Amino acid sequence: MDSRGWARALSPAEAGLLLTIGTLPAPLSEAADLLWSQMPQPRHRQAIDETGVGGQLDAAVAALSTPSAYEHHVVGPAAQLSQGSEASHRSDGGHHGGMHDHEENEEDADPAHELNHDHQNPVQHTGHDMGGHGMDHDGHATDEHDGHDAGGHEMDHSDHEMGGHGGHDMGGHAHMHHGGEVAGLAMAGTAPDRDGLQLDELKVALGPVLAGWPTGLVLKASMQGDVLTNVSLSWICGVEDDHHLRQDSRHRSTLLLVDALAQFALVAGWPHAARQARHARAALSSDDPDERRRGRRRARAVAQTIRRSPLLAWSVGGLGDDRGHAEEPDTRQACRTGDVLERVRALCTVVIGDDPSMETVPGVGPEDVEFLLEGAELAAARLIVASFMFETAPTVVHSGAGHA
Amino acid sequence: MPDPGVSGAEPLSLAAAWGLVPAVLAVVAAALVLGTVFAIVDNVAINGARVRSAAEPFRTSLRWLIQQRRTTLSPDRLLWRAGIVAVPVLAVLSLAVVPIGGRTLLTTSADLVWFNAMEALLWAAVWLVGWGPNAVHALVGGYRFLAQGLAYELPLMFALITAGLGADSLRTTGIVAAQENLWFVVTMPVAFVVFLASAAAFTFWGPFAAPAGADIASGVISELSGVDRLVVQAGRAVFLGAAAAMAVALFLGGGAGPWLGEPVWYLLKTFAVMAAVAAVGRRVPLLRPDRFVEFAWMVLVPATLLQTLMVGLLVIWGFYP
Amino acid sequence: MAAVVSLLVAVLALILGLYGVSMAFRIARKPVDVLPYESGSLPQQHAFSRYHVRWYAVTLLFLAFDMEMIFMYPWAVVVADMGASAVIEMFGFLAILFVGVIYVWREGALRWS
Repeated sequence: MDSRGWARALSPAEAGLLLTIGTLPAPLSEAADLLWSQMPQPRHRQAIDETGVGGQLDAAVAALSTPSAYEHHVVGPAAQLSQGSEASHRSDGGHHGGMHDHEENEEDADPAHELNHDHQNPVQHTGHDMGGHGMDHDGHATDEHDGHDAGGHEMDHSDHEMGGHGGHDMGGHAHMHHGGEVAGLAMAGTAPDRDGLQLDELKVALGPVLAGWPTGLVLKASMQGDVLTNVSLSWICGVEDDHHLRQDSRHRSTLLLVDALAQFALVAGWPHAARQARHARAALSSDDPDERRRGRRRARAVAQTIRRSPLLAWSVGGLGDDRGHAEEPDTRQACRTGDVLERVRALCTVVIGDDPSMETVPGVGPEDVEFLLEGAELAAARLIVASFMFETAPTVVHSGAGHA
Repeated sequence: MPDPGVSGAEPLSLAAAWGLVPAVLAVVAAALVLGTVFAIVDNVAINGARVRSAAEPFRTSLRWLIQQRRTTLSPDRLLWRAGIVAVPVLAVLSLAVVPIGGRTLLTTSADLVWFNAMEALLWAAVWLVGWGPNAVHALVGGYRFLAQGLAYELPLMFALITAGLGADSLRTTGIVAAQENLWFVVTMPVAFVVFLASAAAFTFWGPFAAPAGADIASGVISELSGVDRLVVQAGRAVFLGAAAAMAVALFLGGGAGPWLGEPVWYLLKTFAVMAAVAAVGRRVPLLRPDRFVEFAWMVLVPATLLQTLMVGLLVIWGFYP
Repeated sequence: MAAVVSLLVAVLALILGLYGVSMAFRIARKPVDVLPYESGSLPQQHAFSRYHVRWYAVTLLFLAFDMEMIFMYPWAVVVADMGASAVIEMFGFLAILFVGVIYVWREGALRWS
C-alpha cells in the first residue's frame, strides 16, 4: 500500500476503497458490509485473492472512476438497525440474510484482512488497515479456511445477541423502554460511576474492524466520559495468518513483531514511526535476500527509535501495569509484563535482538488483558491493547464470547 | 480607538490604503496561499520531498470536492454545520491582524486580542464538529480538544502578551516596528517556541493531534467526508499558516531583511517557520492531553510567566527603544 | 469594522462557493445516510449523552487565570509608563494565583487518569 502511496483510512468517511483479502467468517464479512454502507461515493469494494494482487489493486482503482462507483447505497441506517435487532431475536440459525441481498460484489468478499484506501489516483490512497497482518505486501495474503462455516454462523448469532439485545436491555433498564428509542436507537442510560455518582453511560464497542486494532477482537463496554467500565474483550472470530509465513516460524514471528510495532506506533499517535515500521515490514517480506537484509536493518532502526524516545516514555509510561493486580486471575502471574512502555520496549528489544535473554514476546489472549481495561480511559485502553501481542485468534469461537 | 501605548496617529489600515475590496481579497488570497503552502510543506515532511508530495494537497482537495457527503443517524445538523464552517471562517478572520505588505486589514489598539479571540472561538467550533455527528469517536475527540485547550491556552496568551509588552503595543504593525533593531525571538525564545507549539495545539496537528487521533478513528473529523472534510481540513491548514505568519510578525521582525523586498522576506520567513514546525512536529509522538495538561500548568505556565517577567524588567530598564 | 464584516462576507462566500462547486461537479449529489462508525459494530445507543469530564477541576483553575489574563493585555502597554510598580503589582498577583496552581497540582487535579 505504502509503495503505491496509498494511505490507510482511519474511518469509512475517509475511505474510497474497501479491500477484502481472503476468506472470512460471517461476523467479519458482516462488519465489512457495515463499513461498506458507511463509505461515501465514489467507492469500490474488491476482494483480493492470490492471483495477481497488483492487477487487482489497479482494477480496484480504475473501478472508482466508473459508474459502478456511484451505485446507490441500498441499506439505510434504520434498516440496518432493525435487522440488527431482528437477528438478535431470531432463535433459529437465521443468519444475516437481509443485509446481503442488496450488494452485488459482496458474494466473494470475505475478508480475513481488509483495508480500504481512497480512490482516484494511485498516489494517495486512504486505506483501512484493518487486518493487523498481511496486507502490506502484495503476494501472500490469502487464506481459505473452509472450516469456519459452522462456527461462523453460531458466532454470528451470538454476536447479534450481544449487540442488539444488550443495547435494548441497557437502554430500557435505566428509564426508557421501547418508547425511549429515537430513530430506532436507544438513548444512553445512567449508572453510578467509579466514585458512586449517577452519570450517563454510553454502550460502546471497539472492533472488530478498527485501525491499529487486532481484527476480529471486540471490546464491549460502558463509557462514562471516556472511562470504560464493564469491559468485556473477546474474539468474535479469528483471522488466520498467511500460510506462506507459517513455513518459517522465526521469520513469521519477526514479521508479527514488526507489525505489532507499526500498530502500536499508530495508536500512540506516531505515524512517522508507524510508516517506518511498515516499510521495514514490506522489505522483510520480500523474496529478495538483499531486500530482506535491508528490512531487518530498518526494523532495528525503528525499534531503536521507539525504545529510546523520551517523549513516548512520558506519554504512555505507567499505563496498564499488570503487576499488583493480586486479585486478578493468577494463571499468568508468572509472565507479568509491566506497563505499556515496558511491554513495547520489550518488543523493541526482541526486534533489535541485542538481549539474548529476550527472544520472544509472550502471546496473550483477551482474558489476560481484559482486567487491565476496567476503569481505563479509551485512549489508555487502546494503548494497552496495542502493547500486547495477541495469540492468533481461534478461528472458531466458543459461544461464551461476551462475558461481562 | 486611540492607542494608549503608541504616540502619534493611528497607522493606516490595509483597507484604507488599498481600498476595501482589494484589501479583503488580498487577505483571502493570503489565506489560500498560506494554507496551501502549509499543506504542501506538511506533506513533504510526511512523505519526503517528491513532486508527488507537492501535488498531494491539490489532489486530495479535488477528491473531497467530488466525494459524496455523509449524514449520520440523527445528527445535530445545525450545530455540526456551524462548527464545520466556523473552522475556516475563524482561520481567515485571524488573518485580519496579520500584516500583508506591511499593513493589517484591521488595525486596532488590541490586534493581539483579536488573534487570541479567533483562536479561542475554535474551542466552540471544534467541539461542535465533534458533537454534531452523534458518533462516539467524534464525541470523545471533541472533549479531548477542550482538555487540550485548558493546557495550551494560557501559555499561548502569555506568549502573545510578552510580545506586546516588549513593543509597548498590542498592534501588530507596532510590534513589527519595535523589532527594528533586534528581533524579539532573541529576548523571547520561550514565548516564540510556546507560540508555535500552541498553534499546533489549537489546530490539533502533529503531536497535538489527539482530538483527531488514530486511536479514536480520527476523532472529530471521523464522520466528515466530501466538501465538509475539505472545509475543516483547509481551515486547519490556513490557521497554521496564519499562525506561522503571525509568529514572523511577533518574533522574527516581520518583513525586515537586507536586499530583498519586504514581502519577499516576510514570505521566506513564514515558509521557513512552517518548514521547521512541520519537520519537528511530524517526527515526534503524540503528547496525550491528560499528561500534557499537567506539563502545561507546571512547566509552560511558569516558564512563560518568567519570560514575561524578564521582558517586563527589560522594558523598565529601557532595553527596548 | 467594515473591513472585518467584508472579510467575513468574503470567506462565507468562498465557502458557499466551494459547496456550490462541489454540488455542481460531484455525481452523488445527495448526502448518504449512514450509521456512525463504531469500528464495524452496530451502534447500540445514540452518542449524544452527558459526558463526564473528569478534568472539571482544571476548568475552574483555568477560569481564575483566564480572568486575570484580561487585565494583562492593557497592563502590557502601560508598563513602560508606570515602571517598576506595574511589574511588581502584576507579578505579586500572579504569584498568589500560582500558589493556587501549586495547591491544585498537589491535590492531584492536574492528573485525572
